[in-house]
Amino acid sequence: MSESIDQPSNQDLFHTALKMKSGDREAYLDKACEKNPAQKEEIQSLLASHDEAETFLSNEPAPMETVLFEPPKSIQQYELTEKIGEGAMGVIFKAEDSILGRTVAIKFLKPEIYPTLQSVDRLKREAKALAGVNSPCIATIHDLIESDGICAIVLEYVEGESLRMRLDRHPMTIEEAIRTATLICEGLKQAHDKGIVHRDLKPSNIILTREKGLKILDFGLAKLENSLTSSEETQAGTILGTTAYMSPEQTRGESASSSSDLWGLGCILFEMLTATHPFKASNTADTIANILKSSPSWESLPPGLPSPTPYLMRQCLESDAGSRLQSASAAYALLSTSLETIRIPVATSETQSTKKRSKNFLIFGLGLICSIIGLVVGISLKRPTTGADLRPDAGNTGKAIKIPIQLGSRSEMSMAQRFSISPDGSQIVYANTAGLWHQSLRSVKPPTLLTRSITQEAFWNPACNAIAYLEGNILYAHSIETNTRMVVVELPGPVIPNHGGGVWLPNNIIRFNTGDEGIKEVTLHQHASLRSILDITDTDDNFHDASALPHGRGLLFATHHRNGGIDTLSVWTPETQRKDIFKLPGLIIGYPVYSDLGYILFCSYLPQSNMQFSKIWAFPFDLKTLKKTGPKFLLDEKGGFSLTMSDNNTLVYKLPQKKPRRHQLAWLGGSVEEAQYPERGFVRDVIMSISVSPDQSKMAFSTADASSNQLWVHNFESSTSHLVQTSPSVSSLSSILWKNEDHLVYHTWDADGVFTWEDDLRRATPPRKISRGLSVDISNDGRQLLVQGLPRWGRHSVINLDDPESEIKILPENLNDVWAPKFSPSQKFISFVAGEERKDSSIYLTDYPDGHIRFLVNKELPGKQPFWHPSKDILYFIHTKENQNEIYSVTVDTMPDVQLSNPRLESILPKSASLGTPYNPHIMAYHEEKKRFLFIEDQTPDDTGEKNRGNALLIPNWRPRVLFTSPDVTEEEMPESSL
Amino acid sequence: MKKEHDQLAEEAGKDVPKQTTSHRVPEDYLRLRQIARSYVSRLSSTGSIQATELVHMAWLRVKPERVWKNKEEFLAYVTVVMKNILLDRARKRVRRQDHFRTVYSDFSDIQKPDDCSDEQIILLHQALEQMQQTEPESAKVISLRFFVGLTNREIAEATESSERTVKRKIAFARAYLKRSINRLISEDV
Repeated sequence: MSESIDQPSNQDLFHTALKMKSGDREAYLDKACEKNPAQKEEIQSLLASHDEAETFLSNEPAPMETVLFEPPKSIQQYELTEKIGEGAMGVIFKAEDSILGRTVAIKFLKPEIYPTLQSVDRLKREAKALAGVNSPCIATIHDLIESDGICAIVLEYVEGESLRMRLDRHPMTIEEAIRTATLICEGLKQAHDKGIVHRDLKPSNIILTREKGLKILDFGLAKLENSLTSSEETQAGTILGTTAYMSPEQTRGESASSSSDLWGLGCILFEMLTATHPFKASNTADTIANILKSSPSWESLPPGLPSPTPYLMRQCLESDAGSRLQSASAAYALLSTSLETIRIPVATSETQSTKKRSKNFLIFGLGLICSIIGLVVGISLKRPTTGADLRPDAGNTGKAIKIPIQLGSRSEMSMAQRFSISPDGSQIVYANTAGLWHQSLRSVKPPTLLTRSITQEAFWNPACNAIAYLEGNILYAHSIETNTRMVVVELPGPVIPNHGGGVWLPNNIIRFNTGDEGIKEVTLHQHASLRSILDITDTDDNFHDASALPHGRGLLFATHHRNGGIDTLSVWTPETQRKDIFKLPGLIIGYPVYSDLGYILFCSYLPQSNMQFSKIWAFPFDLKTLKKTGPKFLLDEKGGFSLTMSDNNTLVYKLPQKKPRRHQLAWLGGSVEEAQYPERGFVRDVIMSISVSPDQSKMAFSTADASSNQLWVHNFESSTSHLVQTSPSVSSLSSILWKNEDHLVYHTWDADGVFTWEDDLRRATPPRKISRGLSVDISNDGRQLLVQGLPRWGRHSVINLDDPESEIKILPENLNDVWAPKFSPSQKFISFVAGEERKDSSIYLTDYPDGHIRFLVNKELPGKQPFWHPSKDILYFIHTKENQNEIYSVTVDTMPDVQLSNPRLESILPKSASLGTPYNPHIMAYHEEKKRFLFIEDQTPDDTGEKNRGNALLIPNWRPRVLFTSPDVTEEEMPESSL
Repeated sequence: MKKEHDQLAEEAGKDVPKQTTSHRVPEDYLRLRQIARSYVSRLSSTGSIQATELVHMAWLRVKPERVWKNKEEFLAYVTVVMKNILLDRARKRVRRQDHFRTVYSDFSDIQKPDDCSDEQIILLHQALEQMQQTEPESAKVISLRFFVGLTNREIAEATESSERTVKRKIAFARAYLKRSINRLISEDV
């Protein structure tokens, strides 16, 4: 468009015309655009559009000026008493809750942030989760108020002095600083466990109470506060205050994680110890530059800090979030160790026993164990015992004495596992679902709880006063005497240890098994010394049940092969490296231990079977040449597992159930007239895995006895069951799925490995091998099969059953460590139990196929063993309350967004219901037509004699007793050159 | 292995497209808008950008060492960042839902990005691109209004002009945009 210089712009013409009456516009434009008729057209069309635009973009946004906030005298049940503060988020008032009669603090959010508070719902959720933390170190959110344009948060009212004020007043002592940090950490630990990150930990957010306690304020609120940055600048210093404790990733605008809170903890601890902030500068920009680039001046730390504290601070103030200490639990452990170390000198003037305690602790803490082993052992052996002395008479040789002992409670769920006896045979640690326990074998004192966490196999230090074990990816050293622990090393992520065991040498080198990640070595107090000493090979899946050979010679362990089924017994020494001794086709080898009489003992059992069918074997073994020197022989006809052997030949192992269980399928619910059992009298040793057919007319289930597994189909109409498949003695059959009315999918696990099969019930075609791996679930349309063990153990993949040639879809990485995933009937979701050996009592849903978002199904209700309704997206799970098992249901809605109903109590299971163990759950089923649940009833007679029998056997002077030499299981000798 | 509580840790959800029909703009955007607006008032009083607010800069997806020649350049940058946030999101969702044809032709209720459907955001962007060719000044003013949410006075301060000029440019831009949108819709149909 060519315009002369004098020609008025479109804008001018438009505005002039706009002011005119519409009748006059035409004449005006005719004249103004005399030389340019196209411009006239342009303006006219714009004028027309202007009228048409109506209110489009006509409203001016509200200006930014802060609206002065006048709080009401009362709001809902809260009577405001006085203003107690003003922060970036708004004004804070003290108030009385007239209903509950308590004092609260109410934070009125500034109106400017209110509109950006997009997710009041999320805040509510977070507040709810926070309320569930219930930590004495966290100030809780009581309530959220939203009314008449007011948004306010009702908080626990905490009286006391803020840590900021306290630090400004006068410096802290080392003990006070570490004690305060320990309390902060306790709060963090509990919040992080619930997935809540503080994001803005700073001294002004921490209140020291009069009772020497501490409360962390504003948990989870920092997210909100971020949205207010604009109003913060009106208050000089606010930004500085906030920024100074911000982690490097947060200053870069990246999201905060639990390790960001640990950074904050590191800053605070530094400040408490030195009275100066580690990164402080005269202005915000320089402070941030310091946070991002420089490291704190470590030399300003006071001398005489207890040993793990500097380590902890370095770990917390690591600027790369990935290399930083990841868990508040680890920080807590380090801090409590420090605290113990400080307190010891105070106790030196106390009684003899306290003295000894502290000495032992110092030994433990300082790592000078080797020089004093003799002394410590001497002391502990001379210590008078209280209660029954279980030791055999000294000098007793020849016949072995078997002493029944009870380790842990008798209930099935808290079954004691993974025993580890101290080298001197005086104590034992064992794990069960309640945690890790210590039991002295010299007395019948009750066991002590060491940690509630799920830990891998523990092993002892030579002085027998400490153990080491893996918990998650942290190797801990745990002092038995003081019951405190310290972090030895944190394995770099993403290590997923799934087995443990190892050896702690007198020079404080610890060699430990991680299972999937091979065997590592680290020196105590030198976490940087961590190195791999034996990796798994391509054909191995993991190493398990590692135990020490005498005199630090090496390790004994079993190797699970990638495709399951065949275990190898292996030894490792620094000189020979790994040496495989033999393979047992089709069997799992468990708990190999060495006896100084020159034998290796181990147990064998069927994969996936009950360990109650396991057998204990021994064979002569030459420690010098690392060779098997004779045939293996059966040791105990009754079987047993969880073997552990002390250096002085004390053997402890777990006894199997005395009698085989008797299981029967039973109905739950329904009227009195209805049958209680689908097939009365159909009783088997073990029944597992119930699965109802798509048309609800049949069910499939599997059974097991000492020698085999069977697959059955039951017809509900005729109330009869018929055998479909029996697998030979050294394999197992389980997890039966219905592809359609005529085809079952299941897997077998035997010497050849683990395979998933499709079987035609009409016998029109022979069973078809679908793939490697375990069949886990099948979609309701029978097309998609979820398989575990593809492409490797621990991973899940989906196979398209319609097109066996199509590509196998591997589930996203974040669904790596999950158990028992199951398609919802709509196939829009997958339910699963969180990983880590199902220790988590949380059941989750994730969207399928993306797997992006996890929804917690059983909010605030510990649950297990989820199963779906056959046709609707209703997920059932079992919640155990005071020894009563209840079935709850949660309905999943997808309109408009994914919504989970609150868990609803459906039914209560009778006491006789068998739910299996967390490792081998007996999943139930729901029959839609009959509106009843199917469960497995345990009819094992109550054996009162069992009580006196104990659940484990202690043999103080084990002697080989050959029971049975012609082996019913042949091993495959390893050729000398095999590795 | 760290446990995930994704339900609570929104971080995980951040990159995940939410299955939602709501037109609400991302929280990120709102936060940005507040930061940007606070800048405008400071820029007006000091006239320069100091590297004092690195945290904010991070929010604006800027490297700390970035320096702007003048506030015009800074504002242009902010506007583009904000526009891209909205546009990327709208495009992603439209692609996924594959129903671009359902265009709402009623634009009269639109005042700010929250009021727009994904398709409307895209259309508005196209209209702005056209306006940028012939009426760049008006395009800038209306972008500051729409994407950054500035008041007339704030725009006047930011562009060193009078409020009256701003009002005039906005009125013109509204008409211009409305016309372009109408044309785009009819072309599309």
